[in-house]
Amino acid sequence: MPVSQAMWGAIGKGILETLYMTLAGTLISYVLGVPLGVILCVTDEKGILPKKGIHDVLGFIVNIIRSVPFLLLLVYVMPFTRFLVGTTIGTTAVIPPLVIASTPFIARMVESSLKEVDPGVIEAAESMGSTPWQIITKVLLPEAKPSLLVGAAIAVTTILGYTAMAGFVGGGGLGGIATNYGYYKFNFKVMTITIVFLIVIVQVLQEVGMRIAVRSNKRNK
Amino acid sequence: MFRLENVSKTFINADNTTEAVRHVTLEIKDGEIFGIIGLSGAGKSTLVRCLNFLERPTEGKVYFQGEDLSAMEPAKLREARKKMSMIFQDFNLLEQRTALGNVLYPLEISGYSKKDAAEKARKLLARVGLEDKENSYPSQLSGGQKQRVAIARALALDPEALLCDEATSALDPTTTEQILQLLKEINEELGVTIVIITHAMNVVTQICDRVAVMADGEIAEIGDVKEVFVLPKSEVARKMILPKSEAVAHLEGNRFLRLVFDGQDAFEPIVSNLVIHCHTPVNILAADTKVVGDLMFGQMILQIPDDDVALARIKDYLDGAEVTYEEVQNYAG
Ligand SMILES: Nc1ncnc2c1ncn2[C@@H]1O[C@H](COP(=O)(O)OP(=O)(O)OP(=O)(O)O)[C@@H](O)[C@H]1O
Ligand SMILES: [Mg+2]
Repeated sequence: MPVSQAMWGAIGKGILETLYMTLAGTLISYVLGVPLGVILCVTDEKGILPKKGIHDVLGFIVNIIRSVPFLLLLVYVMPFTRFLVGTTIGTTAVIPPLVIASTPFIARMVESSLKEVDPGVIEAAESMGSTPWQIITKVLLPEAKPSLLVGAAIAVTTILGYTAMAGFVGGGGLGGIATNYGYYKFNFKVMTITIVFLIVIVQVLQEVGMRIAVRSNKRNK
Repeated sequence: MFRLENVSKTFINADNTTEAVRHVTLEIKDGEIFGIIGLSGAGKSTLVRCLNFLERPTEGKVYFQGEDLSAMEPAKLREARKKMSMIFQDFNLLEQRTALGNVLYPLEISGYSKKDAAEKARKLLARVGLEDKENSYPSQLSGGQKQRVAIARALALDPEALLCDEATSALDPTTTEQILQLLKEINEELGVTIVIITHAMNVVTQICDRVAVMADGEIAEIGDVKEVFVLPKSEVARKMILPKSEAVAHLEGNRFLRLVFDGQDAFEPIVSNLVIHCHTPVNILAADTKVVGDLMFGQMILQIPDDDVALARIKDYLDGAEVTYEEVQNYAG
């Protein structure tokens, strides 16, 4: 059975939807995850503003959310999703659970990237009379930039994987196509095409991300 | 510049406590180059980090230009820190910024306009001889060049004091020499007070005015470099300062002179002139000397005949040649 024109059209739409969910989800998750990661890093007992209480509470919340498998989280937060976007079906409805699931692991990745910054450099900045804000914005984040970009390349592919799962519960995108044609109708061809496209998208995103990261690193030039 | 009153710093960990600095009282004067020596773990770094409150003393007070650092609000402390820069053994440059970017950092955080900051940073890079490296990243610079960038960065806010924690330990002897020369010039031209931790005795004899010898968190000895190096009193100081020699035990006689060179004319053959002038043989047992420019620094142990007249002649000659010396009994390295 050849793949029909309409089918190709659906796949094209699926690709766009997948990219939309992935990029929007990643973007929003980063907007929330970076500050969270920064707070986790600086409030650590070895950080520049040690605050055990804040660090432990945030760390606990992050760990809890990270422990819930995405598919369960997706279903569990549906009331919240409906409240936020008015529906639980479609690409935009995937964004809230995507962000809820991604923000904690992005926060952890940001935290660990920032912790890789040489403590000696932070100390030098402190010895020059930097404020904590200056250390965060002019030392921690810029010095961790290459590592943050590697993290982003990993994050974006993980989030893409989440969007595929969201397809199972009406989230659209390539995951939705794979569910409808591959799973329910077992159209092997469509399933294969979908998977091939997903692989290509993941590889491209990963490769581009890694290249940007390597290029931005002034350390090993 | 700095006054420490009974400063102690105790580190308390889960399994042990370390009294890194114990009851240190000392003063570092405006415009001097103050050396701190001591064996590893003596507490030198901790003491210097107490000067800019990177380490908060557990006891005692640190006064910087007459002001008590412990009484300062964070904002005030930051302003004080801008007047006392620190340079480190491993440079601690921002890896993702160019040489120029590194020197710009302190200017950026202090509200300089972009234009003024760039102008000043370029001037500073020129001052340390790196005007052609402004666009290089630290990873593209040699150790000596990195330390020059760090020095330029440290000078950016016209500090009153420069704290150097083993600033030359990671560098080869020639580069060390150049960096020391640069520090000396900074001290003389800008009047910056310099505190310098080092393991190299020649660093002290070359550029320091005064020196403190630390052992077990305490100041074992403190004084003018000349005094301490000619006649070290404490055991640690003697151990660190006196040149080492292993062969001595097998030699006859036990009268020795220790000569200290602190800037004599390097081209004057002092020892051979001494032999000719005094008609007496001497034996060089150990020497740790070094020529900087045209001047000689360091020290030498001579074995001399067991003869009071010859000794008197030698002493007389050395007085005339303005070489500092000390008679040592039973020198054994
Ligand atoms: N942050 C810290 N926590 C616990 N102990 C510390 C800390 N910093 C230093 N110490 C301890 O304090 C003592 C003095 O350390 P310090 O670094 O001041 O010595 P130092 O004289 O600078 O030695 P070195 O010549 O090796 O640099 C050491 O026993 C060290 O282990
Ligand atoms: Mg040290």
